[in-house]
Amino acid sequence: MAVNDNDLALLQAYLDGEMPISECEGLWRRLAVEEELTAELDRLRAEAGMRQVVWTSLEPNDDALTQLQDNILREARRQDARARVSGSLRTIMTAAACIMIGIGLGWMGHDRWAGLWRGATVTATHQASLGGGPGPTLGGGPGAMLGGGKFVVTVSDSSGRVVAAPQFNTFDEARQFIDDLAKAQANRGGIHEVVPAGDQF
Amino acid sequence: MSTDETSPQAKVATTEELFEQAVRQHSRRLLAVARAIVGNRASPEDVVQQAFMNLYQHRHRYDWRQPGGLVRRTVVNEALRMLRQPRMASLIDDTLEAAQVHSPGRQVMESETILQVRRAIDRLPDNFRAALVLCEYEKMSYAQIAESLDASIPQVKTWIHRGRRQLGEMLRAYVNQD
Repeated sequence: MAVNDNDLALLQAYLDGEMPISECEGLWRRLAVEEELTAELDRLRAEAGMRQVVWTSLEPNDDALTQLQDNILREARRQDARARVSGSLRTIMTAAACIMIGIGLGWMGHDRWAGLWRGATVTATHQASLGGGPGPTLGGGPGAMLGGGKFVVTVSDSSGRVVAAPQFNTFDEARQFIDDLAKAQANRGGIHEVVPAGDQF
Repeated sequence: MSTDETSPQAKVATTEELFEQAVRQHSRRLLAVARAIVGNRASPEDVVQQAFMNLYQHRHRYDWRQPGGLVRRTVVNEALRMLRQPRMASLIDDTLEAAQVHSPGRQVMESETILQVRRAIDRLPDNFRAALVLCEYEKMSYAQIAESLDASIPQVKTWIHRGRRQLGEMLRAYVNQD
């Protein structure tokens, strides 16, 4: 009886160790009585043996193997070194970027504050009441006396917004504040003018 | 002690040390597998090196205590990937001649037969060749091969079966030609 494709697949599974033991017993019984099947198994074994020699012949010799291993390990170390360098570079670049951003923001902020100071015009006027009177003012004086006997000095920016309105118990204190403010503004160099207004000043 | 074993008393090896152990332990067989799969169409050394480098790049993701399956699967995939690249033309077939130089003790006739078998293996489709070498050289089960090649077990059985049949036919033609 000729060996068909199914038997061939069966024999190959047997040689590959992929046949369950229960099926192996059936195959052994057939091999005992079917000569063609036995011959086919021997042929497959011989071919597998030949291929085994071929597979083994593909193995590298020691020199080639050592060279390959050295190349791999050298490349791995190189990769590590590259990673370390790029990590350090990344840290340095990040720090530099942070510093640059900080400087940039500081510079922009400085310009803004300086501009604000430079653009400010502070004047003092004699006001009859808190927050009274249009325009940038720094007001104070007896006329600005509140009900509790306090003197109010309003400080306005160039666009007329009141930025501060400190209260003082005496006229002298209010006068002193205006003088100090004038000195401070003069020191900053960005003040256009301080105009104490009103007879009292 | 086997490098794949670990004991609590033993100094804990770093990933890099385990990687180096894997390279030393497995590269001989991996190179043979790569040679069998890429034949003369790519450099098997490049395949193995690239596979190891791919693994090294993401080394912390893997368990390096038993890396055999991992590195084998990576080499097989890398070899098949290289073969899929269109620029891969046949290299000069110096590996076959090198086989003779590497085995000076073998009889000329035997070398000639080996050469013919290797040439026949080279002519097999890529998947047939990969399945055959994993089955016969690496002694992997059909299930393991299927996992490595991302295929089903019946597919692997078919590849191995057809590969062997085609090899047999090619070699019979060679014998008849002589």
